[in-house]
Amino acid sequence: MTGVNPNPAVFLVMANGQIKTAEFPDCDELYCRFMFVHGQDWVVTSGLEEGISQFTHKSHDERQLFVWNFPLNVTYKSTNPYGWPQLVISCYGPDAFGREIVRGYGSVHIPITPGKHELDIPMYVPVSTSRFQKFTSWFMGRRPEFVDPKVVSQGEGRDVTRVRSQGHVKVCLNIVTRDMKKLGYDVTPSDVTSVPVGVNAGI
Amino acid sequence: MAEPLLKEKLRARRRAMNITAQSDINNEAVSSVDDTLTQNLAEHLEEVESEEDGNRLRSLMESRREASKRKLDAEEQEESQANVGDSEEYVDDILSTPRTPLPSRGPSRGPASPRTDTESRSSTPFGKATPRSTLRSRLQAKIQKNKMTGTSTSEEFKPRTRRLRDRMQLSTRFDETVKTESLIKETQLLERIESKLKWKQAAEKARQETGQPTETDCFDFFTKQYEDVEIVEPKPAEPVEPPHPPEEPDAVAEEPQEPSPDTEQPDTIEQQATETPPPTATEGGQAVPEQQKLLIEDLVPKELDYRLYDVYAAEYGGYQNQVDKENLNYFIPSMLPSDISKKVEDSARPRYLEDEGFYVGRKPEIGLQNKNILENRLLRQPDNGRGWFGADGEIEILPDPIKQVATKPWVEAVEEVDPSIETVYVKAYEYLVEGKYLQGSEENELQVDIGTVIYHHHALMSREHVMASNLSQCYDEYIQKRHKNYVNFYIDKLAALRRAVATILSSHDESLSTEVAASVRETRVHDFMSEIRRTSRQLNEAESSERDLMRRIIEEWREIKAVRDVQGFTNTSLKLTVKREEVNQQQDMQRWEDEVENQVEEKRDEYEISVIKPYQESLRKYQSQLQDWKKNRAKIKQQRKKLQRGSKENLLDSTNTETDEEITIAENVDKPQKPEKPEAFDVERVRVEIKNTLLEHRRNPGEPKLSLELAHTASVSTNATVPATESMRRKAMQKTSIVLKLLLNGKEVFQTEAKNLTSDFKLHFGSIFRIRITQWPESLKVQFLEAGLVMKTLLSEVYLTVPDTNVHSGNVQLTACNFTSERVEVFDHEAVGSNTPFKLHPTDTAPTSCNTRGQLISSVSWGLDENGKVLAPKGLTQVGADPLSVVNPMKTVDPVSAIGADRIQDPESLSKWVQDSRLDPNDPENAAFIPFMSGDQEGQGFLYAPDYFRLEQLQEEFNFLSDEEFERLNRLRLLELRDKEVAEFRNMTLIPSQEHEIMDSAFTVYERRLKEKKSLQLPTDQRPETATMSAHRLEVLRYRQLVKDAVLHRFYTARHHYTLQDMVHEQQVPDISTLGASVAKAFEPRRPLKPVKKDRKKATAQSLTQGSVNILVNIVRGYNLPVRVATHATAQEPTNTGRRFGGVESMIHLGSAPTAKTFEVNPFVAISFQDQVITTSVSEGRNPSWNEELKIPFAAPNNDFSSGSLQAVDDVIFVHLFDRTIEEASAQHEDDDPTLIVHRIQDHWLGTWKLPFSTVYHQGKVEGTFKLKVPPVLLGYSKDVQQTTDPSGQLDQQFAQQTSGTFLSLFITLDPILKPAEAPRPKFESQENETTLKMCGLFMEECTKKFPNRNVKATVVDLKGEAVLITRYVHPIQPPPELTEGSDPQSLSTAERVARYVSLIPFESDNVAYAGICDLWSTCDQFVHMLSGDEEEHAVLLLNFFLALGKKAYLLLGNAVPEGSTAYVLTVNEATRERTFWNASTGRYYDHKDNFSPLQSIGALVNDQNIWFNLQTLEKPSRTRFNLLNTSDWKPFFSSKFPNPGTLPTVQPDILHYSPADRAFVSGLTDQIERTLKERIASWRPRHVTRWNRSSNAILGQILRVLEATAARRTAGDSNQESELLNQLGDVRFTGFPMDMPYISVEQVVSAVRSTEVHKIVDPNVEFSLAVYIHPYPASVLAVWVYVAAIVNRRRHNL
Repeated sequence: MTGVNPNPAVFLVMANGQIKTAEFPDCDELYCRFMFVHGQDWVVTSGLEEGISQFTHKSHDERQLFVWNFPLNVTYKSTNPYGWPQLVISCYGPDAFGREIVRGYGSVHIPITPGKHELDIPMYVPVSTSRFQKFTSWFMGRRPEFVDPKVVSQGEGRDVTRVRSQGHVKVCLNIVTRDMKKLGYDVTPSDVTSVPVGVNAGI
Repeated sequence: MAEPLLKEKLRARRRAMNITAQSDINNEAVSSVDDTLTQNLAEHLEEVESEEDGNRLRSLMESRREASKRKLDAEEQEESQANVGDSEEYVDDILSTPRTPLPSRGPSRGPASPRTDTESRSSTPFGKATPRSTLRSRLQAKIQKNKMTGTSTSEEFKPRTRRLRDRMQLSTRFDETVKTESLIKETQLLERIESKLKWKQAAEKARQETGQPTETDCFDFFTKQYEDVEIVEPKPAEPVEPPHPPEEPDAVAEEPQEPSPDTEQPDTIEQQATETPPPTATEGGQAVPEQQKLLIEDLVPKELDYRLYDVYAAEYGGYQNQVDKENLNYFIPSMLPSDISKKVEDSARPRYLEDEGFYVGRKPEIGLQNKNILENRLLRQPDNGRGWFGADGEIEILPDPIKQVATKPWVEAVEEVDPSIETVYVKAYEYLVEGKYLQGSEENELQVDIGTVIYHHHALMSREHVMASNLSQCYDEYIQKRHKNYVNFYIDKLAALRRAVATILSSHDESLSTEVAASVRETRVHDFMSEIRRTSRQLNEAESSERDLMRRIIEEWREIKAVRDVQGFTNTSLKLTVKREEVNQQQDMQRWEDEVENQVEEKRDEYEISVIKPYQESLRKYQSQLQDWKKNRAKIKQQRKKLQRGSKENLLDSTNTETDEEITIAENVDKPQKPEKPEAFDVERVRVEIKNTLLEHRRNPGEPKLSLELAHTASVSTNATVPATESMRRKAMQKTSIVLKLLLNGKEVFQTEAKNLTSDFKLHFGSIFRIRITQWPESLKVQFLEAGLVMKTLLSEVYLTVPDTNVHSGNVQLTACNFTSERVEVFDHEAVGSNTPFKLHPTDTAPTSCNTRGQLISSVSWGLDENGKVLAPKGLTQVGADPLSVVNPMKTVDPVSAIGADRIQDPESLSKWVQDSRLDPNDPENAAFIPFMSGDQEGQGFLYAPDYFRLEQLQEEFNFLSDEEFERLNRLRLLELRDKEVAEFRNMTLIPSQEHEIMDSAFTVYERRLKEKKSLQLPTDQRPETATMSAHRLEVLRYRQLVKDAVLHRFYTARHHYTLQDMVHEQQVPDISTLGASVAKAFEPRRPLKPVKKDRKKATAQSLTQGSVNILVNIVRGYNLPVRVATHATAQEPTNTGRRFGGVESMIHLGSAPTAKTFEVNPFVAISFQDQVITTSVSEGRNPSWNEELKIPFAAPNNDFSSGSLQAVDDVIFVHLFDRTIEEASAQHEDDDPTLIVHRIQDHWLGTWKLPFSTVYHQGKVEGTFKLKVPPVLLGYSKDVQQTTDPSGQLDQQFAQQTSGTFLSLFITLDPILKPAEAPRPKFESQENETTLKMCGLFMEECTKKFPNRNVKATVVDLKGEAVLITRYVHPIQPPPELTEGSDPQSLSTAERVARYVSLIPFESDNVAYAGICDLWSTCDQFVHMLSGDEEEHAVLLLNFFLALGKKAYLLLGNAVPEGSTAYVLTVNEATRERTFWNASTGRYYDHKDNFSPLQSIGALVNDQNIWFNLQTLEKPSRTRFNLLNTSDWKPFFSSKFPNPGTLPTVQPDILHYSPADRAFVSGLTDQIERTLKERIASWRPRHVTRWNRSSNAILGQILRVLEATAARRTAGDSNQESELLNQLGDVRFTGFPMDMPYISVEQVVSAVRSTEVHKIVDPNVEFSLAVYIHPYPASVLAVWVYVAAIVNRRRHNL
């Protein structure tokens, strides 16, 4: 650590955490891919931007959880909060015939306030355009997928899609920021010294 | 088989009981009876587990029965014991049953008992045999003991129910209760406790593991009726028992009220309660071994054991209990209204705001019950539902936000209401209001007389009817006028007035009366006169209007007659007769003259009065004024004289000054003006005027008096004689009938019978209806229903006025009221329809349109009773006088009923009503009236609702910067530009966070571009630099920029418009073929003999980074390279050979004998791309082979590998062929070591071939043998083939002979393959008609299905982004006359010249020009205008030129090697059967037999008539048959099925205008290029001196001229070029070559020169020579020739 720069040009956002669990009512095995999507003014300084988790099986108790405990660790450098990074998660798993199909897409902005955040990301998949296609996609094991998983982090073009909700993924993220206030972005209330654990619903 | 199952079940149940028992231990309230019950049950269960099946069952039965009995005893002791005796035996039986199984317990306790077997299987926590057996025995002993000792069971059992922990602490409790217990037992007990606890833990654990006996199971155990138990029970294990008891115990457990258990109970209860002998009996009576007994004794179960087996039987609490408990926990909200006092705040009295005058609003309706339930529920809340109730004790509900009535803006013009926004008025439904009813009168009777309906227009009228209707209307008017007889009236009046005037005047003559009388008379005469004038005017008007009317009627009649003539039949019975009344000519004339004279007289009089009199007045005034003035003047003169006389005194005298002033003032008074004399009365003129007016307005003298008479006497043509359309109309008319419906207050009162339409469109109903009313008649509406065949349609509605009370049936008159309908009706027969345009007369230019309208002649009146009393309600008289009378309360609420529907549109009356009715301004329903309320009370009234809507009205507050400041901030500007995706900023990352970190330089590029763009818009003369730009060029650039902007903009918006396919990847619905293919795939051989090439996986953009993409170039070999020849110089100087060995010979060609005429070459290939150059190794010979793979890194613009940015990459891969010569450098210093040999390596450019990156990107790979572009003159090299003898050389020769030129075989691809952008969706707007487009789609589909890779297009996209049929592009266009003049248009040389001209138009790929959006086809004029285009534009232009030259030519769509899918021109020479392919963008042409032509496949041929798709299996041009008529070879687009309409106009212009070449500009440009090149070449050689050999420049220039001539005509050979040049130059060594290129920009020329690398020659003696020649062609097409040469003059250097 060098000395503190009084006039920083960038601010840093570090997100540590993990993709903890998922709840998907009607599938047994699941793995997930995550990727951080960010705007043009953001640069990953360390950590993984994309990753893929292990396969997990549903727990046998009544919670029916998929547990990944997959660590996330990324540090961003940015000059502009526009394009704040988003965590995009897409889940895949085999269907009844053992073919791998997509089980859900979901995205959430990483929290802007420092502290520990429990995020609950609702997941959804695009649905077939017709009943017949639903059948053939089921039969052929080629369910409709988003062309790019990143579209779930953007609003453009969503109006033409139809989706069905699938389940949700629980993510825990610890956020550390640096120099944001110096650049004029005050995200924490001034009278709060310690940030309480926020429980954010998914966006 | 059911046994194991049963066992399992029982076990499960037992476990469940265990759990409940444990949980229930806490409950102190549990009775001791229960305790014992569970204890017993547990005991028996224990037995069950250990015993054989039958026994187990029985014991279970028993335990259950017992349990139920014991439980019941508490409740039902007092029940009758009548049948005790009967059941005694039975009871005994039951009680004895446990005894039988007991003996079997003995063996079961043994170690090898079958029980262990079951236990191991079940793996229950009770698995261990020994502790369990001991425990069981202990339990039994305990029971016994309890029963023996404990007489007061209740007392004893109570402590047992305590918590386990309590009990453990209370170890002394046993001492308290059972004093006889020994200490040993105590210690044993403690042990038991421990083991017990372990058990429990284990059990707990097991339960968690298996998760089986959940709470639901426990619950089920007590509540659910298990059928399986019943199934098992009838087993013959207990033959002693009566047949029904097995069911009973079970039933007892569930339903204790059944009679049979009741009868048994008293016995057992007594037994148990008193001395409990049966258990003891069972224990004692059995032959239990001694030791066992001891064990039981020992292990007298303490409470702990009970705990383990604390099992409850199914418990029944009784209904009442249940209800009580439920009451405790449940809350059922009452449906009854709750007490209002609870709901209001502390003040017990509810407030009713509405009564206090506040606006409350109407609450939405909720069911009363639901509301009550809700209220009651809220009242149960801890805070009694405070906050939910309003002050009035009602639950607070927001008023209903839904508007009850749909509203629409008011449309001004009622007549031209668009039918789509037509407003249909629906009468509002009203709540019954008390006041609506009339008080106590049943005798109110309305009489409605529906008389006649006359249609003025009806949809079913024919044209004649329309006219007739017009006519009869006019006639009605006429009759009315006639009836009133205005003319005669006015004539009489006039005569009377005149007479009166005459009398007055005559009386004046007789009696000279006083002044007063005279003035009176004067005024009277005056009055009369004016009256006369007015009357005369009125007479004029009346007469003229009558005459007009008559004229119109006659005109109409004529038209009707004409129509009747034209159509040949008569539809109406109208007939007009004109009656003429002859008058006495003379008399009439006389009268007329008199009239004129009269009028003249009157005019004169009028003149006298109005003109002369005022004149005289003013004259008189003038005279008096004049006199005054004169007087005044005299006075002034006098005073002036006085003044002159005594001026001195006057100076001192102040008073005199005043007079002086006075004088001056008086002097200033003007002399009064004399009034002008009016013009004299011109009798003649007035007379003429009067005559004219009379002639115009009145009947002319002698003209017969006319009168018209309309009769219905004409006979209507019969149906038989009319044409079909007319008879259809008549039929339709006959089918149509009209029904009138009368609605009183919106309710139907009666309906007339249906009347059929008649040909005169008059329906006579003539029915009178009497309506007894009890309500106020608010509206009386007549509906016109047209009854067709099927249904009735509402045509129109009309409101009748409710009459005053004095209007009764005796005095009422029929009145007419108009109705109209705006329904649109159109017919296909003669009828004109309604509200639809039609032409009344065939000659009309503009169609007219009529709405159905007509008159209803009816009357409404109050009835009369026998006594003549009017049967009208009392209070009605006021109605009408005051719209807001209190009589009708509805009128204050509903404006329609108050002021009538028609007046509601009148803002004045509406606002008056609004003010008078005192609407509640707070009621949202009245919002529409608010503007009217504020009408006259401004300031204190309500705000006028603005009729505009402002978006983001609060935006101002959020603007934290003013717009100017905003623009000054660079950072925000940068962000904004990036957001707009401006090219320079699109992929900018990490825009600095601080304003000061942004340099102004960030914008320089962008601003420069903006400036350029702006300067393009400027007129030419204001432009700063025009050196490189001719006017036409500028125009070109401007135009290109415009097109580009427009296209980019269109596609930019299109790109941001997503479809589902863009977002979601979904498998298409499979059709049969794909399904079949997928099925067939399963049967495919695993390792096919002929494997199919699989495409390499394409890399997606996000996984790529800088440097990860390479271009792979595999250079295989070259053919037919030029070879070195011994230079002219060496040939000329054989003397030098002697010195050659001295090391100073200038040229030593390695590997070649000095004597040989030609030398070999040492060629190598250099690939240059994006400023990187990679070379192969040096090979040898004219047909070298390299087989090398070169890898060049590819850098994406802005490091963005997305397809969008890759498409715009316009970099070119250059493949240069060089010859490497190694020469010995001339020794710099003579004294150098002679043994030192210095070699200088020099590369000589032999040719080049270029490939746009976009081609590789789109095609993935480019493979083949390509012809290099070799300069026409290559000094020092020869393309001639030398005769060789060796076989390989012969082969080469053969090859070379076939093709003239140098070839390279190579393979270029990308690694990894980048995913090309998907073509934008092919659906474009189009001007083509639907069928053509459909056929195009079909054609394309069929073609691509057969040969998916063949290039075929039916429609192409023009610059407007619209799809155009491709044949429209083909149209002969004359080439520039300069190219064709003086030569045979059919000759090849002309064709070559034209091709060269076309090829000189710069080539620019659409992908690059329009950022890779799509392939746009510009028309020839656009192309020539823009001076850039790709293959299609060139080909189309060339084709059109060829067509104009009279050649037979086609546009050829196909695939060629470097460019991929392309367009060529095919010319066919019928005579020689030669077919030639022209590559229009290079100007080269190939014979169709040429195997090495770059054209690889022919997809389709197009001419202006048709498109032919190549159906032949072989697509190589050399193997294609060109008989287009053969439909099995060529599939035409326009076939016999879908013939060419022949009317497809071309999109091409007929004539292209070629601006003449701008010589001045060209010479300027030549200079500039030359200058620039010289500077650049010098700057490229920073370490060397660049000398220019000026003498050779001129020679080179000359050569270039010749070259251009040859290139354009290809007539002269270039063999003697070299020698000619060298002769002129003398002894020089010469390296260099001419290049020609189309002119794009100076920079392009420079880079082309640079790529030849002539400047890299580092020989210190080198001199450079440069010549630039530009040949101007029409339309600013320029051929740029550059000759760069490096010359080493040997003589000068003494070589």
